Amino acid sequence: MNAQALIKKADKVLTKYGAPTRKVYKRVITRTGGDQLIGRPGSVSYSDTELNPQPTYQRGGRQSVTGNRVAAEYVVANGRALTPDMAVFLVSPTSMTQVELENPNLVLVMKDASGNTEVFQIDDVNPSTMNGVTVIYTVYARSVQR
Amino acid sequence: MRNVRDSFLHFLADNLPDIPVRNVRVDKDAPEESRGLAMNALNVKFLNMNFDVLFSGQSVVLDLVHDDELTAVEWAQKVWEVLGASFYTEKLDYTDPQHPVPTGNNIMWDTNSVKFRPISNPLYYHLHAQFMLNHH
Repeated sequence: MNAQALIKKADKVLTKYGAPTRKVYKRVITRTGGDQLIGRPGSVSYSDTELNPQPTYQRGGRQSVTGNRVAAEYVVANGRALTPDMAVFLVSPTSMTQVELENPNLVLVMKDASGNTEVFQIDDVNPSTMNGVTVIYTVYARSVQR
Repeated sequence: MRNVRDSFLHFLADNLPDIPVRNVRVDKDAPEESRGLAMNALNVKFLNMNFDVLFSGQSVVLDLVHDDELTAVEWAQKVWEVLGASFYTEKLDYTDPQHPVPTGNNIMWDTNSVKFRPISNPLYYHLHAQFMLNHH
């Protein structure tokens, strides 16, 4: 089996076992006009592209710490108690390139059918390779906005 | 405090045309600004805000990061020449960034406090300075 065949096989597995309830998008943020140095407003546009195949993901699960103690720092937003959380995505090179994963103005976004979104900032990318070709990216991301 | 930040950032950027000046801050619409230090740039981060009815203080951190140590030293010299040439700059209101409006006040710093210290790092050469900006 060569790397390309392995990528195809991985894509099939990702499609079969991918995120069932929420879809993952790559969002490129573009700013035009304004004064970026001081953060004064110009116009901001989001370009969301659905990942195909969808990645699988796993939460860091800080909320799952057991015991009668605070497991994570909470912040209340829009009537919900939110916790900072990490997630690990398995992303196919079919759906994202190394250049995209290294783009500082690209974030991952999860969307559900109700229109809820959660934004993840990519912290680290670990490519797994076969014969010099990346067959899967392990992407470590941090939830920064829900 | 916002005017202090804006004015000081522009004071540096406008007087150091050869050095990229960058503000490290949390900004959901500019995620690259919150991604730590930028290479080959003067990174500016604001820390403590000491509010007072007479003189308020704003702590500022300058992180000069370069992949060439000697260039970083030359840049530090240029930054110092700008900060040492005077001890104040005008505080402007940048609500409309194209047309900043004078506030009638100044931002001041102690030139003796501007000291660059090297911070060891295997990836780049890093000079760090921290001092206070005082203002009405």
